[in-house]
Amino acid sequence: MIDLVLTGKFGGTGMTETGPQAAAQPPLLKIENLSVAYGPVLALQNVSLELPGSGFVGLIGPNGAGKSSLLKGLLGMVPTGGRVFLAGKSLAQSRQRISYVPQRSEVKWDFPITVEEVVMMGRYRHIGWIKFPGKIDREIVAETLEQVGMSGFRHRQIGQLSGGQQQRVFVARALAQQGDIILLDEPLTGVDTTSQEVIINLLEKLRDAGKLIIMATHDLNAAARECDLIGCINHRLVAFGPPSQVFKPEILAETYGGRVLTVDSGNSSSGKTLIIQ
Amino acid sequence: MADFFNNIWNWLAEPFNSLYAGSLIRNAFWELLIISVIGGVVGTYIVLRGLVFIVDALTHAIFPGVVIAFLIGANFFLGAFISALAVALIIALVARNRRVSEDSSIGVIFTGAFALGVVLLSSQRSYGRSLEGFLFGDILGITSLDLWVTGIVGLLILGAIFLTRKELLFSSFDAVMARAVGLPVVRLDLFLYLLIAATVVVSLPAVGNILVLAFLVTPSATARLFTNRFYLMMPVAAGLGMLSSLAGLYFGYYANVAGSAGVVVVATLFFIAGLLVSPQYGLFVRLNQWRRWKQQLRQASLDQPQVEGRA
Repeated sequence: MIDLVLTGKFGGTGMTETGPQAAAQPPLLKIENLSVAYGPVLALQNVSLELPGSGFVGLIGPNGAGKSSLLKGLLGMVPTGGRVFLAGKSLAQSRQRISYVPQRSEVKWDFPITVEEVVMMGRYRHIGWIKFPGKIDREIVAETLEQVGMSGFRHRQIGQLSGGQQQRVFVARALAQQGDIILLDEPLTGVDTTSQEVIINLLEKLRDAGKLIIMATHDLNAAARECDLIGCINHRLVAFGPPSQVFKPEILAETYGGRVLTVDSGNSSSGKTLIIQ
Repeated sequence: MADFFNNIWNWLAEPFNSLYAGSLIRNAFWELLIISVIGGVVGTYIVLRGLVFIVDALTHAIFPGVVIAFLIGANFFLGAFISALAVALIIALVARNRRVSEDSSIGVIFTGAFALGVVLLSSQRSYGRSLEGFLFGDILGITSLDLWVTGIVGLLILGAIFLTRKELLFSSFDAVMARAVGLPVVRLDLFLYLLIAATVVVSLPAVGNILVLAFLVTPSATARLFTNRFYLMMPVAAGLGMLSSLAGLYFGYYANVAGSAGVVVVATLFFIAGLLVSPQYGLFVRLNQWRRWKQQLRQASLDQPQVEGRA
């Protein structure tokens, strides 16, 4: 696999404004020494992070480096060590504040269920056991489908959509959860460009509306372009900071295990990095 | 003309009114209707979650418990339900991360349990007859007490599913996300297995150990061929089950064959018909589609010659 990153502000010369601004906010999400293990295999070790109340955070790293595990650890879906606090409260007390878009492959595509019903699932915890969805829930579902441009497909069976459309539906489901934190696991992988644009634009809007977005991604271009903060993960947190500080050859080399080739295009302020995994 | 309808009516009413077997057939009819409704609803989950093999294992594994209850003279339902509970628990735990090797261990252990049941039963002198009863049920032996038990347990099952419908749907469709939003997915799985086990147990006296799987699965599998809506699958499956039951009863009465087996044969015919004529997955539709595509392709090559590339 080859990722090509073109960064204009390469080399750490131009410090972006988002860094200090983001740091000024009080931490919403506090991760203390988070470790994740699958049986004897340690996927992630001792990640400590403090994230502000709003912003766009990208998680990058090679396949199997623990990006998904970090997200699942934040949700308490996998055995973890360490602690996670949301605005000072434990995870169990504040799970409803986290929205999640899992990796696409983990769903039964031939299930007889419509787009609308899938998005409504994002409301289930708000509705509670036994009760039926109310008017507000239906309005929220209609609204989120509108936001991802899938209103016209709401009665379609989920498996009849293209990959990108399916992903947009799952983003809509996460929006219907109305969390303050939105976790996305590879939302752009295997997705057509239109859907990528829709998703990215929507995430930007949400960030501007004061949400905290954490996105695991392989798309280093998108991460460099969109994210205020980037975490480099390779079974541990290799580096964390604004893109200008993180996209350096030595950090990327450490993140991707040395399989990085940097090609300078002569002009030192706009270098090219070629990463070969 | 009036005569003709009269004849049909008589033909339809005769099994239920016959002096000799009328009351037995009426009981059988109601029992099968109740089983069809529960089977249609529970079966929808079984089919969509791909649990058919596991439920097959479950029905076999209940067998030794039923036999032991029979041998020590304990209540049939109690024996069946206790063993079903134990088995459902084991399966729920084993099936959680199902891989091929676990598939085979389920197959091995539960056919083993079934054989154990046969071994226990064979210590009885006239075991051939009771074995037949256990395996194929005795649809004409249904008492009104059996009817009450099936009805009440059936209502409880349907009520339990109604109350947890959202959560069961969520964890069936997308277990990962269900866990992410904090639903107790493992406990929901256990709960569903419990309901399946209860359905199997109340159906056993009428339809027996071997055929009960068909009552749970076949109508739902057929219903899936005709609808893309989850909640529509249940009534369609229940309706198909009822239709099969009725047809099977007449089949049994007029052709003098085993009732429950007749129902299963009819239900299977429905399924095969569904495979042929289903509007979305049917063979006929597929063939038509294929023919149309070929036509289009041929047309595309004939129409409007494009720029030719020559070297």
